[in-house]
This record gives sequence, structure tokens and C-alpha cells, in this order.
Amino acid sequence: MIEISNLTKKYGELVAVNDVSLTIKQGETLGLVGESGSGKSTLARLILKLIEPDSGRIDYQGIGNIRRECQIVFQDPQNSLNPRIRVGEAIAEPIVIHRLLPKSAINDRVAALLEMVKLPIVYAKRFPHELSGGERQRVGIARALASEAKFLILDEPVSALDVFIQVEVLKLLKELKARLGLTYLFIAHDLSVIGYLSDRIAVMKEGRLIELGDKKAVLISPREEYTRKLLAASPRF
Amino acid sequence: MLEVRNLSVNYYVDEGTVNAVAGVTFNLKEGEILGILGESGSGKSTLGFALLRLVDRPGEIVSGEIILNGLDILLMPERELRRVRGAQIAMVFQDPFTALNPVLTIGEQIMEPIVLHQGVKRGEARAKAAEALRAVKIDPARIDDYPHQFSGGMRQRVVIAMALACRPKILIADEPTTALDVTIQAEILALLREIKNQFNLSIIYITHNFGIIRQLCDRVVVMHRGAIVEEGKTHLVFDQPKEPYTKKLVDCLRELG
Repeated sequence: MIEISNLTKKYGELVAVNDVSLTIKQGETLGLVGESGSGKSTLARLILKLIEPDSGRIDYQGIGNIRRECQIVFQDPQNSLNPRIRVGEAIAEPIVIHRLLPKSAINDRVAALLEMVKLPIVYAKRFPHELSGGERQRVGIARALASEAKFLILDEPVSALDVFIQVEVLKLLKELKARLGLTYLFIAHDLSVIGYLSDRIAVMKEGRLIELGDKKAVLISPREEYTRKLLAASPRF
Repeated sequence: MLEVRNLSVNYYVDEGTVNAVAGVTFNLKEGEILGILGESGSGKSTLGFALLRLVDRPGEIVSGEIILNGLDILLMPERELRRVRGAQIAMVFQDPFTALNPVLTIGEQIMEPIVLHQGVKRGEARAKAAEALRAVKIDPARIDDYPHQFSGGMRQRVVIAMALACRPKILIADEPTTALDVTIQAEILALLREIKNQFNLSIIYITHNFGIIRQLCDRVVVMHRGAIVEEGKTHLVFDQPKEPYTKKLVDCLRELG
């Protein structure tokens, strides 16, 4: 679906993404693990075309409008929603911007999206602060889906949530992926929850892609010393 | 070593009274690392602050006893309490970025509690600060550097050096690695184990992270809605949980892998 070839992005002297080549296959969840400064967030922004690379290219197959069909769900739903905008409006915004539906059909679509993320329809009238962290994250997901996205970048979507809520949100993401035929790039800073959703796992360090393989292979018998270190350090239950 | 009996903390907010800590009883044994595990809002951090009587309005400690060396911390006059804080029980907080004063050198900050508690001359305090730096594996030559010259993990080491400066018997650590990368986190956890042995410390480690508790703690206290729901040896609580709440948590974690 997304083919990344020899992608490089520099900030002054710093090479944030260094000659990364990688394919995200249609229908898979690719886990992307890296510590701070590894370049994982820069790579995400390059894929969303929020920034331009210095060299290399990204080819999108089956995606016409990148701005509409590639979306991101952020780590902290508290900061990613405008506190003064009601939930319904926040979800409707991408539909309006991309002129996906006539005005008269928007309310029904918002209701359907709320249902999809298992929130009561009355939540459309509420403000973000009236919701719990897990509920706000569901709104973030509904908003990402509102533009009929095919590809979602999940940027640490459960790191800020309690364990019970983590499981609920991850289950919902799994379910939505099957139901809507989505493709995910799941970004994490350690290897502790990444196995739940991922089919394959990529590891980045200092701008480079150092390991990429099947989930089981990476989690059980990583090739790289750094991945082993990361695995040993990731506090797993 | 430290005995907590029936401790309760309330918060008085517009919506009414919140029982943040609701009649908690446990003890910290000499030389152990005790984990206090809880989800957000469970009362674990409030409990940590209450142990040093650091609960501020709108919160209030409403009942209980915290017995250290036969004396109840909750009944101590303020002067005596100041001798306990830092000198006998020290605390390390979550965020090393805000725990340090950016305009003072790390040496000055480590010396401050030494001068305050031990009344020694600056030269001696400086030597003790250098020693504390060595204990956390920072080159004492960096004693005159400022916090911004250190990485996050190194800053947390400085904070730990500050806590160790007066040779406390008990260290309370509240999520000290949450703001750090996992490989750095692993180093800090290893360091805590090491200084525990070296300084004969007993540690209370507060966290929501099950993996850390399993790696680090001899015993664990599980908190939920201000109360202790289960307590015991870490591997027993995690492998054979008795209470429904702990069982549900453990099931969730197994599912997450």
C-alpha cells in the first residue's frame, strides 16, 4: 500500500530519517518501535506528507487523496481534541472539509461513527473534558475514520491509558481494522504492547531502520543486539 | 521499619469529598523493595505524599498512624518532621526535568539538604555531594554543571543523588522512570537495586507499570479506589491473584502479551 524507498530527512546536521526503505502492505498492521530520537515520528510525518523528505520517495498504491485517506490517531486524546469544540462537531469536521456528504447527511454519519467506536450517540453534544481518557481516544479514532481513511497511523494510541482501557481500545482497533479493511502503522516506544496488533515489527534507532521481520521472529529471536536490549528493557508482564 | 495503619486522605473539592486514600494499612520491611501498584486515580501517589505528610489543600490526612522508629509521623511537630524528610525518608519524583532548579549547579542542589540536615561546612558538604554523584555513577568532575547539560536519564541520577545525600533509610520513588526511554529506564532500575544494597535502603516504589513491579519488587500492594485490594509476594500476587480486581488486571495483561 505504501512503499518507502531510500527516504532521508535532515534537520540541519541531524539526520532524523536515514535512508529508510520499507513497505507497508495492504491490510497489515506494521509495528514501528523506537526510542526518543529514533526518527519514528519524523517517518510518520513524512508518510502523511506533513513534511517533505530531502531524498528518497514514498509511493502510495490504492490511495488517491493522501490528506484524506491517510490519518493519524495521537497518543494523548486530551491534547489532540479542541476543548471548545463539541465531540459531534470534531468528528464532523473532516467530513465537511473534504466535502464528503451533504449537510443533511452529516448528523447520521456522526451517529454511525460514534456507534462504530462504541460511544453513545448523545456524546455528540458533549465537550472533550466531559469524557474519560479512553472515551476521548475513541473520539480520536472516530474522527480519523470520518474522512473514510484507508490507512491509519496509530502513534502510541494507548500509552496514556490504564490497562483495562488499553485492552478495550486495542480490541476496538482490531475490530475496526477487520470491519473496514484498514491498514495500520502502529508506533510505540517499547515492545510491551506492540505484539497485540502487529503482524510485522520494524525497529528504528538513530534514524535508521535496523530490524524488520515477522512479529514472532522479532519478539522471540531478534537478530539485532539493539532489539534484544530493547526487548530485555521493555517491562513485560 | 515503617508501619502504616488505617491511613486516610480526603480531598475536598466542589463536587464533594473524595476518599483518595481510604483506610490503608501496610508495612515496609527492612531491606525490601515494596511496590505500590495502581491505575491512575487509585490513590497511590497521594499515599506516597501522605507518608511524608506532604498532602496540601484541598487534601487532608484525616486519620491513621505512620510509625517510624516508634514515632508517629502524623503527630510530630513540624521541626521534627523536617528532620525526617530527606534525612530519614527521601523521595524521588516522576519528572527529573522539573525536580531540578535550572539556575543552580547540580552540586549546589545536592549540597543543600546536606547543609540543612547535617549542619556541616560547605567544603565537607561538597565532598559528600561528590560521593553521592559517584554512587549514582556520575563523574564527580561534573559537580559544577547545570541540569540542562545532562540527559533525562542522567538528570534522574542527579535527583537520586540528592535523595541519597543525607543517607536516608527509606526511599520513596514515585514513577521515577515514566518520562524516560526504556533502555534508560532499565539502567535506572539497575541503579536502584545497587544503591539499595550499598546504602542499606528500604524502597517504596510507586507505579502503574506491572512489568517494573515484577522485575524490581519483593512484595506488592495493589491499590484500587484508595484502598488496598491485595498484598503479598510479587510473584504470588501476579501468578495466583486472589481478588477479583487483581485477577481481572492480570487477565488483561496476559491478553496484551
